[in-house]
Amino acid sequence: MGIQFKDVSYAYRGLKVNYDAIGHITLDIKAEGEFIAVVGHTGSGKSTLVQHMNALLLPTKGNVVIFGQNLPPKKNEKINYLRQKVGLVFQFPEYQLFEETILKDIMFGPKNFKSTEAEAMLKAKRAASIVGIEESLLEQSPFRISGGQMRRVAVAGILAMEPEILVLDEPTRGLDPKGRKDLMAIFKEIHEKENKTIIMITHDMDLVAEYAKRVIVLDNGLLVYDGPKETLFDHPQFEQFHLDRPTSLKILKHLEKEIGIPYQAKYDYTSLLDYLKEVSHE
Amino acid sequence: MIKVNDLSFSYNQNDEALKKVSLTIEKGSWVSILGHNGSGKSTLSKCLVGLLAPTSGEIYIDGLLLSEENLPSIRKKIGIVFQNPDNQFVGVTVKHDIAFGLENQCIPHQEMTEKIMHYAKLVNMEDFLSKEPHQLSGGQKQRVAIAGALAMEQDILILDEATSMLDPEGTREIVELIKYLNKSLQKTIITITHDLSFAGLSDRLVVLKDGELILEGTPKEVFLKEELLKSSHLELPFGLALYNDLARDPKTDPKLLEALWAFNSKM
Repeated sequence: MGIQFKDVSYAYRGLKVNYDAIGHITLDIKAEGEFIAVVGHTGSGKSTLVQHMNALLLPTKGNVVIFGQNLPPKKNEKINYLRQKVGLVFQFPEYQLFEETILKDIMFGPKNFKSTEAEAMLKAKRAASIVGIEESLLEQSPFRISGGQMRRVAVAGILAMEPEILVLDEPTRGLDPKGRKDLMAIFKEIHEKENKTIIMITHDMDLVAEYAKRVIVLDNGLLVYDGPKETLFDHPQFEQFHLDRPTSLKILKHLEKEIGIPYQAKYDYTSLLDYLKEVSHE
Repeated sequence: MIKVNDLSFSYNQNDEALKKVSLTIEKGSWVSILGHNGSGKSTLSKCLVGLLAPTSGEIYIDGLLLSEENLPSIRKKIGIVFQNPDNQFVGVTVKHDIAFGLENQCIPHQEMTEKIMHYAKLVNMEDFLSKEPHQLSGGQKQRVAIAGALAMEQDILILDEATSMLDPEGTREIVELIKYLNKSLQKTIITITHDLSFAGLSDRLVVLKDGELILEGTPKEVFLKEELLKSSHLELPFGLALYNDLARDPKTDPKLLEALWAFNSKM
């Protein structure tokens, strides 16, 4: 099942002209076990793409199939339930907090999907503990906590709906390094423990290198790469993707050129450090 | 020159967002104010432009005390661009947005048009003058916001996390723009950020932690205080952290360290 895009295009309507955001996208995303980074320039269509994944946007051409539901839907077909199956965390989701207490805010999602008060509370508490919001905070206002905490409360609001797939639009943007690390650790744990598919938009190639298994690259609304991260950064057409390389690979390329340390792709800090220690000790 | 003396600010009675902060920012320099989320760095920037009135302490800009009656003169000296471009786009189109401040200053139409063109060009948005905000990406909107601030032609410009919403290429463009404003137009630049590699480009760094100024100096001086930075939830750029970790190991080949150092100074 999962999510399939079949030759999908979407055009925004401007006042005078239509504005093509994405074109002819074909994709297959499995319901389990994927960690996908969606990357590309500002304005390349990343947000437009992921908003199709829970039917917030409907294709103007082509079809999207979400857990077997064909989109655009037939007349009178209800598609609301898809938003529970695929949880979408927007950019700066803390701007959408609105309730009196943190607990009520997190309960809003499950209650919308017909959970009883008691069920919603149970789900909300579970979600709060996943994102590391302590019980003692739950009765406080969501507006009197730090920015990093607000972000985590907003994420908990999506997790409480118990979606099967989690879509994150630049989840770490604007957070400080500590907040970024903490939040990514939460997503990594959800992915590893529950084998949940996570799709994440990001501009941060270091995050792509460390967390993603598969990368989707958009350029001007077109899909120009879809495959494992291991073959992305050394792709012959990489320069045409207008992407940066992760710092780890930049360092390795530099060291190969300057002092002949053999280039071996290392995607995270620890494995790079270990590798450099190893070659340096020989 | 900006002089801040014992500046304190509280949003509520129990919690001080700024605690007796004192600092001097030289004319024509580029200073980065660093700190974790909630460290008080944005509060400080809002005090500097007179959007928040300090609970105690003073700010002098070019010798002029920042006070309610001096505010009109202060605002001619110092401008600010905020983090989120969506919250500061007020025009119907790019052109109208850049014009907003100029219109408030009642500048003649011809002069206004010239200024709009000039500053739109400076930020590389001259081909988008008739675009509406929803047709622009976040980065493009941010460049428009910067053009709008530049059109006010103040000597001091504060950029509060102005690059945190941009992609790497957008960030590079803004960095080049900041360098140009600072070096060629001699503007005093204050950037608020938690990105140490970005801050490393400025002349001086000021580090805030829980409302207190805990560290001040050149990037090199500040980056050496790794433990203090860590305790402030700030992280050294990837390459510098790697350098430090390898340098701690006596068996590391000095040639490797040298090459890594060269990589870092290239950034």
